[in-house]
Amino acid sequence: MANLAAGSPADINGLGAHFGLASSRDDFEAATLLDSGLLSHDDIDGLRSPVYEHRKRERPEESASSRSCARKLCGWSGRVMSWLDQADIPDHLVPYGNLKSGPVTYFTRALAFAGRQASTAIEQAVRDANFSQLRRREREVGFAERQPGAAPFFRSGRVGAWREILNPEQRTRIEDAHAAVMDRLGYAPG
Amino acid sequence: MYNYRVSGLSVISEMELPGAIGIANGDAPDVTVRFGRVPQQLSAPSASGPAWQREGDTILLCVPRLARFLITGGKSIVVELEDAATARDASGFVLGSSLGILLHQRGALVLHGAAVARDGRGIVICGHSGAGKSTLAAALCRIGCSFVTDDICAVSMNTSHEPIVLPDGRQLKLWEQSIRSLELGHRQGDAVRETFEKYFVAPDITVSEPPRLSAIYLLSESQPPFAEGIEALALPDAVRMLEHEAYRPGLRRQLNSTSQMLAQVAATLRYVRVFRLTRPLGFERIAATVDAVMQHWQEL
Repeated sequence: MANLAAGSPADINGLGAHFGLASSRDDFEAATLLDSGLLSHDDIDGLRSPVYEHRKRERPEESASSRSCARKLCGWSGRVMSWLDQADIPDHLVPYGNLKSGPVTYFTRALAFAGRQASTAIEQAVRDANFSQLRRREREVGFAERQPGAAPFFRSGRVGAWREILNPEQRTRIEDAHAAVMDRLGYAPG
Repeated sequence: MYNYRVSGLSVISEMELPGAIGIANGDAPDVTVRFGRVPQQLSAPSASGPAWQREGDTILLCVPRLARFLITGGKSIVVELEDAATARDASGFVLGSSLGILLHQRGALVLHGAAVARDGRGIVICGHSGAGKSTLAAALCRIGCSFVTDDICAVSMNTSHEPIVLPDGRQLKLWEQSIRSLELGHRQGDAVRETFEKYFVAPDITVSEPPRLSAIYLLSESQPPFAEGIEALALPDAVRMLEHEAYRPGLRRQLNSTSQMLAQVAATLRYVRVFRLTRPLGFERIAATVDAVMQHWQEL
């Protein structure tokens, strides 16, 4: 998206990531005028949908924001299903494997869902987001979203690579814990 | 009735406001806080958000399952509690959100920040919610600075037209983790709201007079490629930063004109320098940040 908007390869550290996550306290407080530090988790959850709607009306061209309001952590399955099984906010699922195998096709469909017209610029934007380029850039200048001391953020980009990194016991634990959702999304067990 | 001085205003309140600076009963107050009927909605709002509506010089604020607040003309706050809600839990929204809105209605320059002072000179620490403003302010108070504000930071002018910071209370408000990390357990008071793990913390020293403002520091996180350090912001960036770091900037833009804001900012920047303070997160690094800030501030 940043490549498309800029018309050239975007700086991976200049994406305004501090204003990128959907659970931003600043955006929440700007929209509600309330101090999020004095609200319970249930109160914040109850206001989240109206905040999204308010933000969409006020700034339709922007995506979401940063320093987080507290939210429930449900694990991968819970998080995925909390989006797919809700009807308050329209959603569009893009499996990583699809994006990897047909980036222009599936990115175009995602943009169409978001109300953006397809254009020939998409192909170049996709090329500029090539994983090897992102990995090289992280080696050169670092990546602001990587935790200090952690392994490189842009690892391999290959579909299913996680199965090669984890040992058999770890793979089994993940597949057992998330079998239902993986099956629903079409992820075959390793 | 309770009498307080908050952000330069004399307040008379039917509700006890924990953490506010109590004063003797005096002349006609600037602001009244009372219990009363507050509608669920305004009759013809000109603007609204997820928890508020605005009609003329009146703003209705609704906190789910707690209370509704009617803030009018920069002079009055009326509070209606929901069933089973307590005045104590609602008080945080009087001293915070409602007061911030009221100050904007009065045309004040209000920053969202924590402020401390030393030898009559103050600094304001701004940044995102959750950036660590209060924690850094508490750490500075622990080494001898005086507490000024922890949230609503109203900047006014003294008789010599120099910017001053108006105290918003006597106590910091810190999460339990910050209290433990700064070893301030002996200073911990009541929770800011029932069942919450955020507490009032009494600093060693509070200011007796509003200090002159000498610098504003914008807190940023140092992660590659953003290096640790303190850099001065060029004037256009400083202006933009102060606009962005206003308390509830969107509301400020609705209530006060851009030219008014720019005039206030220009008057402030005649005497105040603005810096970006980029530092690593982590409580174990806060002592180094405190040293850096104190050294930088003393050399201004």
